[in-house]
Amino acid sequence: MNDKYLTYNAVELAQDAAFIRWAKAGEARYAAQWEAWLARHPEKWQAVEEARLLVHALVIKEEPANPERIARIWGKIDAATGESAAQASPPGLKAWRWLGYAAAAALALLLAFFFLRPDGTAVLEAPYGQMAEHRLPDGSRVQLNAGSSIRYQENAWPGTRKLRLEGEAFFEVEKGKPFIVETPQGSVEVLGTSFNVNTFEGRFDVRCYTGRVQVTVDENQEILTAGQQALWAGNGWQRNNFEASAPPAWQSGRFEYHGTPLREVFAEMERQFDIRIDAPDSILSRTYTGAYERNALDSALYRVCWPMNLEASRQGDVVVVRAAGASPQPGSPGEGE
Amino acid sequence: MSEALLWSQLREGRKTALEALYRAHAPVLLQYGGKFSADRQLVEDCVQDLFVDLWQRRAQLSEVSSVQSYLLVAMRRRVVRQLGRRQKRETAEEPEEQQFDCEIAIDEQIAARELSKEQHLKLKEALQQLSPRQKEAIYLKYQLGMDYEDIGQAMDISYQSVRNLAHSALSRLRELLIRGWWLPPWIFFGFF
Repeated sequence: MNDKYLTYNAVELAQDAAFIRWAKAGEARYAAQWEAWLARHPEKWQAVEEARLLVHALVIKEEPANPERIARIWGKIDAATGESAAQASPPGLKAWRWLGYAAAAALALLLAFFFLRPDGTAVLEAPYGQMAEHRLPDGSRVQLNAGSSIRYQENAWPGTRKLRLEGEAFFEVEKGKPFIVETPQGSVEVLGTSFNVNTFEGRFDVRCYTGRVQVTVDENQEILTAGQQALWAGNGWQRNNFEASAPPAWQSGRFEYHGTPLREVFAEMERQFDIRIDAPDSILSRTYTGAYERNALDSALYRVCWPMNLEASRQGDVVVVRAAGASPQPGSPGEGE
Repeated sequence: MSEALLWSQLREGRKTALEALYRAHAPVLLQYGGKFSADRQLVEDCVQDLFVDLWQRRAQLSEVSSVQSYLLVAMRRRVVRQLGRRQKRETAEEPEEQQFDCEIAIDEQIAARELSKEQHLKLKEALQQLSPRQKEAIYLKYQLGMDYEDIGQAMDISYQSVRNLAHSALSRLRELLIRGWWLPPWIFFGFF
């Protein structure tokens, strides 16, 4: 932590951007830093408390955003800008190009937890709130969604290209020997291709973006080509087609749902924002259709909860979700009034 | 992180990026614009024009350090220009500087815990006496989390002026807000 803060008084601290983010939003990644700093400099406790009070004391009355108004204006912008999303994409946009952007962006924040165990097992973990990108020993690339991990025997590569995945990942595989992804649900085998595997919450969802992919659960096998998706339904494969020219939405930081149980939506939000969501079982099986971006937690909560007639209140990294009008949580900050 | 990605996708002509940016920022832009004018239609038109213009000029956009700051600066310019034009049209006079207005209050829970009635009243008065510029600086800083350089750019004043605006407002607030027992311990030892 920067020791410029040693010279700061309460008024100066209360104007520091990093301090405000911590004091206001209680962002977890700042909290640890500040607490460690305070432990080293206990004499600054008073200035910090005063500054926190200042930051919290100011309340600016704000009219809440009206979703209908937002949607109406977008309708006008959409009409005035003409082309649809699909047409607007340059046709030659290659998969690796957006992968490059995603990777560059990911690397900026990346605290990829990659380590090699004494027994030669390589482990890569993307913790909650972060994504990770990794190049395998054969040059193949893997992008891990938040809350996911892969492990593999490094010295076996490239003779045997095999790794174990938990969570969700997008692979771009170099040509060569069979490339095998094992998951708790089943396995995926390819030669050279790009594909997405999602195993969150017990699902097994494989989407092939280029080339061919073979998916296996016990004795049940399916072959997928570009634009095909296989979803394990518990007793057999369910096949669908999807738009393979766009990257998996999670990579661009946008999460889309179509009739998805809130249980799964909240689980993804917990991984993306590194928070804990506390919601009664009675609402978890309700289904949600919509989308949010991973850059703003408050907006994401709003976009999921508002159409479902739910209320969310946030206290640090714990979010309590209740049916609107249910008994309010005492003293929950960040809820305006 | 994904803001930068969306911005580069916008520059490449992805309309999904335009929509994502709109949805992420429209609420704040509408609120900020509304602080200059109660005319909701005018504010909405400014947001609409801003994003249409962003799309049309996407190929010429450069990289930005903060998308939100970029949009807020652009929004402020639009609203102020529109209001100036209208004033000129209606009164045939040179427009005066546009006034930012928002209600800054003291959090009720903190007031109840930390302040006497008299102190609270004093604070309310002090907050009402803040100039429009001080209010705007505080709004951009605390409500929207902008840094002083971006605020200076938005308000078209120097970095140092923004700091002075905010610093004087906060010092006054601290003076009024912090009670006696917050004073450092050496004050008490001084008696012995």
